[in-house]
Amino acid sequence: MHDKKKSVMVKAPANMTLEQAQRALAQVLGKVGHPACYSGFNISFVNAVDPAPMVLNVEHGGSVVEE
Amino acid sequence: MQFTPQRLGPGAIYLRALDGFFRSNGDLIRVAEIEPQILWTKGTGKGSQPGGSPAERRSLATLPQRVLTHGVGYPVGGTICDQTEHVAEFRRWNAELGVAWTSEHLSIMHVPRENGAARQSCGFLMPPIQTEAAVRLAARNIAERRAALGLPFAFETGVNYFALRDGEMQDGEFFAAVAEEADCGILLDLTNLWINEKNGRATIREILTRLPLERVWEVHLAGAELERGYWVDAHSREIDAELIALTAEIIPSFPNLGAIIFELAPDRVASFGECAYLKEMETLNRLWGRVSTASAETQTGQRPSRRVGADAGPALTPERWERAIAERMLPRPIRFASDALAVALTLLDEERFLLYGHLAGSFRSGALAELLGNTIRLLLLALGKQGLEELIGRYTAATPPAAFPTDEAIEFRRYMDAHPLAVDGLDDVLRFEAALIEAAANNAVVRVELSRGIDELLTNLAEGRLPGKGTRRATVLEIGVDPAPWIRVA
Repeated sequence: MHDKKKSVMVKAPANMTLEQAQRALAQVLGKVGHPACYSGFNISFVNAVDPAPMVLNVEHGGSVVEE
Repeated sequence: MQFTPQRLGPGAIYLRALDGFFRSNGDLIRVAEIEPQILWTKGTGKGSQPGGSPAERRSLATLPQRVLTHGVGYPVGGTICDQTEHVAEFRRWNAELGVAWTSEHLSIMHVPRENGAARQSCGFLMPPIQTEAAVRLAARNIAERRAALGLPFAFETGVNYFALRDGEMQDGEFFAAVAEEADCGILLDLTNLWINEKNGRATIREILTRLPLERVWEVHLAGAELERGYWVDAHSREIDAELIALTAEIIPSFPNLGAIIFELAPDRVASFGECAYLKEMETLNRLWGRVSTASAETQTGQRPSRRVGADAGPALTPERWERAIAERMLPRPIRFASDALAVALTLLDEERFLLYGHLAGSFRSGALAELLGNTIRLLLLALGKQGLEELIGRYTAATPPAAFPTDEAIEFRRYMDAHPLAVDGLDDVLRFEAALIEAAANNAVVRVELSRGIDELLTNLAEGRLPGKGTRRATVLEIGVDPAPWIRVA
């Protein structure tokens, strides 16, 4: 059976424009609330300093089927 | 107790990132439990009060689920318990969302300061001391909160990483005493109790033998994880199979159960995945199928009235416990001058306070990573991981935690202004991101002047390069959020 998927490693967006900064602002808007009610370890800082590379599974022809 | 909750069914904590998911899965998720404060914004001005958006409330009112609210940030276990500042906004949310009952944590968040100075967040939900005085305090807080909100009220049984001290009531005895003294409901967080049991406190079965089971209106379930050798309430993954089996066994004994809620932390949503989430909701639906339909009245009144125990004595009061929390959780510059009036701590207490400090620190650094992502990235590139962690450590050791992440980010900017680093681009990136926060938090148009083009700066950071000296080109940006986020070169 022919495997149609292959893995592509993506480290970071190749470019950050003002348009993308606007998306960053939208993300800030979504994160200005009180932290949720849990008493564990928040991993946001760990993710920022040790980002795990994302793996995209891509079909032949380039369309992303799983992210 | 007059209130009997409606049987609403299985549900989950609502997160903005899951809005579409909630709307398209109304059959599996029948209750949306909203934590209003995580959707509120607190302005950056001195004395500003947090509040939500009317548009978001209107949108939430169209969810296909029945809605409950669950308070965060204003717990009812301590001597400092807000009954005014957040109440009007909370009432507004309850009214517009048609909430049948509401809940908050039987925990402590704010601690006193020297000479009666303004209350101070200790940065984490801390457990109360379990004494008769603490029962009376919590019952008074709950009665006031219930009256202020005008709704039936349940307290959440919290996680407690400390060991039981001599003179404290057993966990089940304490929860039962608070519920009966306050004549309120219980939000039984089985994950919290399971974690407590795994860490050496009372077992869930022991607790249930002491609880007035007819007061259990709601159950919370979530995934736990190990951190530094302790089980912690991380809301990070699927519910443990052992806990699901135990829940299936005990859930028929709650005659007034109105809802069973799955919790997932916002910082874990991306890695958890939609399929895993649906699987957890299927589990909750199966558990809900085991909820007893027997009348509550057949089971109430069978328990004897509680006997009020002797007070634990002057060495173990809520006030002394909160001073101990302040002593260990706040940075040295704002602690009390002396810990002579605090509860005496054991070596075990000291060890557990280190865990609490570690967890609280993760929320502070997490807030900076989320709201000042480019600043943190630049500092990581310039200082390396160890250098960045040391900088964050110096910052948290010098400044107290803030309840809202916007305040944390603005405080970090002040700290960096007072302790400047020779890193090219840092001033511009920090100024830019502080302006984003100001615009978002204050719903205002903010103008910010930078010494270089923001595109080049952000592109360098995104590609993992230090900005370098670059071309100096004064740039003025205007940033706003109404009606949608926008940034333009002025």
